[in-house]
Amino acid sequence: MTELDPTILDRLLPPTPGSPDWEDVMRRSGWRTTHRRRRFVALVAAALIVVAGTASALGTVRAVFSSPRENSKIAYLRGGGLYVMDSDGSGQERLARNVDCCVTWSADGRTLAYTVRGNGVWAVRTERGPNFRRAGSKPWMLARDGRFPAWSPDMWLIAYSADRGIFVVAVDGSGRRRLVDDGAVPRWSPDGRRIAFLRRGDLWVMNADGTGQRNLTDSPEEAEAGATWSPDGRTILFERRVRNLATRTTGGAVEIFVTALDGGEERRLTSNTAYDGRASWSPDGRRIAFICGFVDARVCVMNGDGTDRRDLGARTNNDSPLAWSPDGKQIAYTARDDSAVEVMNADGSDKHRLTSSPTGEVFVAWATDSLFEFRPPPD
Amino acid sequence: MRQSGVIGRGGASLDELEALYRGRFEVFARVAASVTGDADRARDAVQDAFATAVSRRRSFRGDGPLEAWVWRIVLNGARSDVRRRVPSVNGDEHVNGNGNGNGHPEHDAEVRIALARLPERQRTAVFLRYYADLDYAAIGEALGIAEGTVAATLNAALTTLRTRLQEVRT
Repeated sequence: MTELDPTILDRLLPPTPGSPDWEDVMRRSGWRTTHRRRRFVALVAAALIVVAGTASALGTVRAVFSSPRENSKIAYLRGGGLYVMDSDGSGQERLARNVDCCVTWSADGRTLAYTVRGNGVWAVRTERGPNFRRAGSKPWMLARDGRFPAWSPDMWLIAYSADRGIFVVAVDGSGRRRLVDDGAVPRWSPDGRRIAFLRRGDLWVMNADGTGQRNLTDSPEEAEAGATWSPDGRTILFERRVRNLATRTTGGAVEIFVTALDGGEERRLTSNTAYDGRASWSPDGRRIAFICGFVDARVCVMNGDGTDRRDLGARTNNDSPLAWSPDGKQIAYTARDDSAVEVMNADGSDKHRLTSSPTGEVFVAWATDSLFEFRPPPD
Repeated sequence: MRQSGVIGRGGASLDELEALYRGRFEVFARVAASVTGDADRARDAVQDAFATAVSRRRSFRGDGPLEAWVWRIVLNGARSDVRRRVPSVNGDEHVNGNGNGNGHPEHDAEVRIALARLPERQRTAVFLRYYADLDYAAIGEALGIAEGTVAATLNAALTTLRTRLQEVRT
């Protein structure tokens, strides 16, 4: 059958992870050669492995996916319908109805997972193809209950919240299993090896198989949410409802923090009495877009260390997400006044709307967003 | 049909193993990744498998291709890695695999999903036959099943794939 042409299987398999290293094989086998040159090469190889292992422990991971697609799509909600359009606003198309929340793109920008009101987690293809008469045909169910689906970067698995715990299921809805009894809102690391999640108001991380659970914040009097991995997988952005020092209650402002996965201390990136949340990394991991202000919510940006904070002057809603374009040049958001999906350049210039309907729209996600578009960390 | 390796005598030499490794590393690593679901872990499994093959090279009986013997070690290692990582509730339905996400034609995703729904043995048989280009005897050796079972396994896989891809189209 033509579907099993080797070139198709070749495309479906992952790229080769590095080059062959026969010396490493010999070392692992415990083989001892008396040949001085080979022993020297083995020593060098072992040293390189140690160095690579150390770098890996610090969070350096190789690229999983290469360049983003040229014509990235934007997903949005209109009256409970899930729609997609091209990033210039053309080609608007409805894919699903009664969509509740939590729309998330697969890493290749071709499939969306989402929650249907009262009817579990679903997925749908976003493009036409030789095997699909139209985009959005035949959405399929991933789980009968649950919210907050998160794709693994390799696109085979989806983690989601259900029954007070976290489950993982294959992309076809099979092989469902529980990873965590007590937790919610899973977020996969860019290398697919770890999952960040929330448990009783704290931010936790675990290995992708559910082992090695660690509390990253351990703040019983403050609540964390909105975990977002940096593109290099070394740090996680999150928002925290900070303790109000004046009243000694937790009713203080929401601020943005960042914590390092491997031993680093957390840092507070925003500090004021107003709301700062919904933080999103730029694809290169250098800038952060976020929503500043609660009633008068606007789109702000800052450097990854919290410096150079700027208000880009885009009025939005505090409960709407925002996202960088895959090339990092634009930011999409929901306009506050009439709920249209708008984009602007990353410096705040050239604000323009992509949609306009009487009922309004809510921007939800940009295909190949920074969560999944892995790039090597800057040197 | 690929007929690699040495048949007809016991034991494998280091040179033969090294030649097989250098010549087929990419194929081993990528098919192993379809089992582990992770390219780095797959590479690890291949490295460990060849290390095991080096240690046990004298136990290679030589009644089949060397490559098939090594495939069996690679696949067993990859499956052990999966078992160590994820306690599977339903082993047959447990999907592991990967995709490089780069410029697939439109129907790749459907093929991938259809492949993902196959039992792991059927899926691996498909990759061994149509990607690694092994013959039925070698696939049987690699998977630890009889040659006749290989044909049945591949037939079942292809029938299922055909049905599911037709379902998608209609």
